[in-house]
Amino acid sequence: MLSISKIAIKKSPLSLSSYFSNTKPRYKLRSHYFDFQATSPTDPRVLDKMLPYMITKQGNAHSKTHMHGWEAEGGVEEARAHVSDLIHADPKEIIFTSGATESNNIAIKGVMNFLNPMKKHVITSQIEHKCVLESCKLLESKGFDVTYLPVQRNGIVDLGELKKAIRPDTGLVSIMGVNNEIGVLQPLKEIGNICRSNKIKFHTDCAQMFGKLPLDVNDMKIDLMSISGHKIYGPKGVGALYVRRRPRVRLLALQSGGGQERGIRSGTLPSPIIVGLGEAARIAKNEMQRDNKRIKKLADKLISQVMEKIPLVQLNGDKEQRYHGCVNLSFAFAEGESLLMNLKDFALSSGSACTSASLEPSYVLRALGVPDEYAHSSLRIGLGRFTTEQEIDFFIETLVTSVERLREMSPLYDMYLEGVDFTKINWSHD
Amino acid sequence: MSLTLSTQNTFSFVQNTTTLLKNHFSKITTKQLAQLKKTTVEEASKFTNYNFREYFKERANDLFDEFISKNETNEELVKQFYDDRLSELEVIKRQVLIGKLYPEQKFVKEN
Repeated sequence: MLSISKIAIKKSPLSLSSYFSNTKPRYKLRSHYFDFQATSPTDPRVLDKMLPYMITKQGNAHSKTHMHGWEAEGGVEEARAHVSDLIHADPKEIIFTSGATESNNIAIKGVMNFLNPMKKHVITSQIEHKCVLESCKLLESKGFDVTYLPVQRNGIVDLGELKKAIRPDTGLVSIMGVNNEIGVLQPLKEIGNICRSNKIKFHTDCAQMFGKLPLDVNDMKIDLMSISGHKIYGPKGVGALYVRRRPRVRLLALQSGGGQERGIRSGTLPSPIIVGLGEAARIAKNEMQRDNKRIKKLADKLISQVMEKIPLVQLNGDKEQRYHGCVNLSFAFAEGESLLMNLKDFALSSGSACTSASLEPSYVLRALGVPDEYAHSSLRIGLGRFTTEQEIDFFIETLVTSVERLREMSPLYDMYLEGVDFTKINWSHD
Repeated sequence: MSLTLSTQNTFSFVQNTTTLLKNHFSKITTKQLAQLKKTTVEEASKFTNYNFREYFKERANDLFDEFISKNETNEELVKQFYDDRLSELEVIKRQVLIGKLYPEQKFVKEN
């Protein structure tokens, strides 16, 4: 029984939490969450499924001799089945990891270390996630060759360029499904066909796509796929790697240990969060159609109303071939960081979370060929399952007034309205 | 807000669910579906988190309206739907309680 004094009960909920924890809340009100590409809130149904595994069913899933281990193993195997079901794979082909970053590292380094020295070439794209690019950089330092494919203006990889880049010693092609900054969807089926016909392993980082858009590893001829738990309303700290068994994909493990997860990823399985990932995958399978319909409707409303109310707005990335929950807009003559500061009632990002600490424009936008003035003023607006229409309306209203206010203060905007040609100006003083 | 964890309330938590389960083995009527819909929306409205509250309310309304409008005659399917929604209702009740144990500030728009 909780013994709470009468005074504490009469006060607001805020003081009740401070009664227990003695820490004052840092902010008065919570900002509305529009950063679903960075992470997503854990669905209450997922938390509900996880809790028993943190309270009573706490056994090690590898303990084969008692019920505590069997219970945990049961939960893990059920989660494995849910994850594999979503991508039309076999449960034995799913390896649980600590997240998509680890999965990407295992896939790229593991496959190429195994294929060394027969295959020395990797093909990837310029708009991959940092973990893929850094893994490729490490391989380059170890003597491998890496081709970073350029992307077209709409963010989609040119299949002709991919075919031209293939060499006899190409071992792996790594192209992400949905980009985390601009939301474009790559033609995975076509890329899979090209790779299969050239007998090259095809890895795809589907952290932003898994559970949101339909995936079929057999139809798309995918050999390796990275999955992230916290992007699909699951817990943080868990992910998975799909490793094809027929035809077998062989790779060298990065982490040595007791040989768990087919020897590919040793270590005790974190059963509570794996169960969370499984439940998130099960919910995603049931709710995918409904969520996508809602998110598309909200995204279309957002884009159309913003473009109608303010001029000089650009949507980065292909308009149709995309995941609608990731909207990357650039506003001319309104600087990105100042815009973010004006929109403090909303949790947004002006680039991916991993690169938001630096002031450089995002490398993804630079790869698209977005001019610097647009790249500096881009906002990534993430919509998700829990976004409401009321939040979108409030956001549109605040965004329009903020952009108008920033443009009023901008001398460059005044020059633009007067019809000044910026290309003819000599900015430096001699 | 009053956070009561007395035994009386936990008993009524169980009692409400068993009342809904009473007619489980006979045919599920439209009236029972409507009753379950009403209970689910009421429970979902108790979420302290604005986003969860709105999402689960809208979802309950959509799912029930869609199913009821289909006028499903297959008893098995109706029972399956009823069972699924009932177990989801229990999840919602538990999570509402957990949300109240860890209160946070309100969102900007709902204030």
